[in-house]
Amino acid sequence: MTYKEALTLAMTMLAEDPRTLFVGQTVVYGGQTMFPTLRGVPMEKRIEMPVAEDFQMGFCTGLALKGFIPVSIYPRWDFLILAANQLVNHLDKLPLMGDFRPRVIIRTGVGPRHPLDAGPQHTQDHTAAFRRMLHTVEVLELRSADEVLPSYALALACPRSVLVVEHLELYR
Amino acid sequence: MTAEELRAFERDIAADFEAKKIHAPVHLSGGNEDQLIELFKEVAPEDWVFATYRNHYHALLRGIPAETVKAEILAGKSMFWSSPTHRFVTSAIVGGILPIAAGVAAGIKRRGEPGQVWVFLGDMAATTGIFHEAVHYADGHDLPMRFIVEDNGLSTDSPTRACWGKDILVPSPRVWRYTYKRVWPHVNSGVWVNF
Repeated sequence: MTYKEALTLAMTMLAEDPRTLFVGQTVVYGGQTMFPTLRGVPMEKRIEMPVAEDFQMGFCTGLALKGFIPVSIYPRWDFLILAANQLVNHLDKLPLMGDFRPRVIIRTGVGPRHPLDAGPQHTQDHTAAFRRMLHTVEVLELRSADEVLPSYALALACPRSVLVVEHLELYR
Repeated sequence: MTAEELRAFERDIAADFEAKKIHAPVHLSGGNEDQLIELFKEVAPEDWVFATYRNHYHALLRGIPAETVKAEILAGKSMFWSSPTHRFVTSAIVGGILPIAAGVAAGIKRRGEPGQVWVFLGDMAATTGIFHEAVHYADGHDLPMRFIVEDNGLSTDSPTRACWGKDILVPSPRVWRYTYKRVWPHVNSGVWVNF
């Protein structure tokens, strides 16, 4: 099974849980690398977002306060850092400030450098930095196809929010 | 609670702070008792309330027992405490509650549940990009939520309109604004306490 096939299966598995919703830009209309992996996700479970990364993260936190498990999709790390306020200051800190335990699965990717190099604003990997910044959000990194399904199953079962980092170079 | 009971609660908190019983910043409310008492008459038990770091009055008017609110403040959580039981959420980051509130409102609508979301924010927060995004999204998707701008003209101690050079308020039927004059300093009671 390829990395991309495993991701497609993982998203289909997540979609089978009635609590999940898939939230992000180009989750309904396509146009980014992760879109084909949502093939098994029913359209009624997808929420297309405007380009408003921090708003999207907070919006997903709010959905989580209502009992949903949003899968919040940011196709590249370079875009996810625009949501750092809501991720680091809010989703990560709410469990430290009271009794809310929001569960969001954040899906992002490290952009490829081969065969096309997307340059310094589309290929950054901030995984190590965010591991240091996040105190309650788990961080998982998918380095092979074998890790994909078990990691997303773990993310769905985890009592905390989980940030899952994919490597887009492995999509080929 | 009456206006005088609200004012008395904050005087009590100020005294506790000055007595070194609170080892954290406190943000005291004052000057907006009448406006909030009137607004909270419309807040239903099934509604959610989101407030800023200055949230003591909102918690009390939400119906959270005064002893519970005081316990959280004494525990150092004046500016960031929350309560799932009372559907009450705050943040110490300006504008931080806005998209979270929109998500809760979207969840209410998606499930077809009763209730709405009340979001209280300051006048500087109402000029931020995240506020514009939240209001546009709420309007565009007809989310059950209202934004109440609590306009004392100040962000910490900076005059909001002077900073921007103009008055800014995104027009929306969901956005209400009231004005008031701040009674207490931005933070703490105005008395230097040497911890």
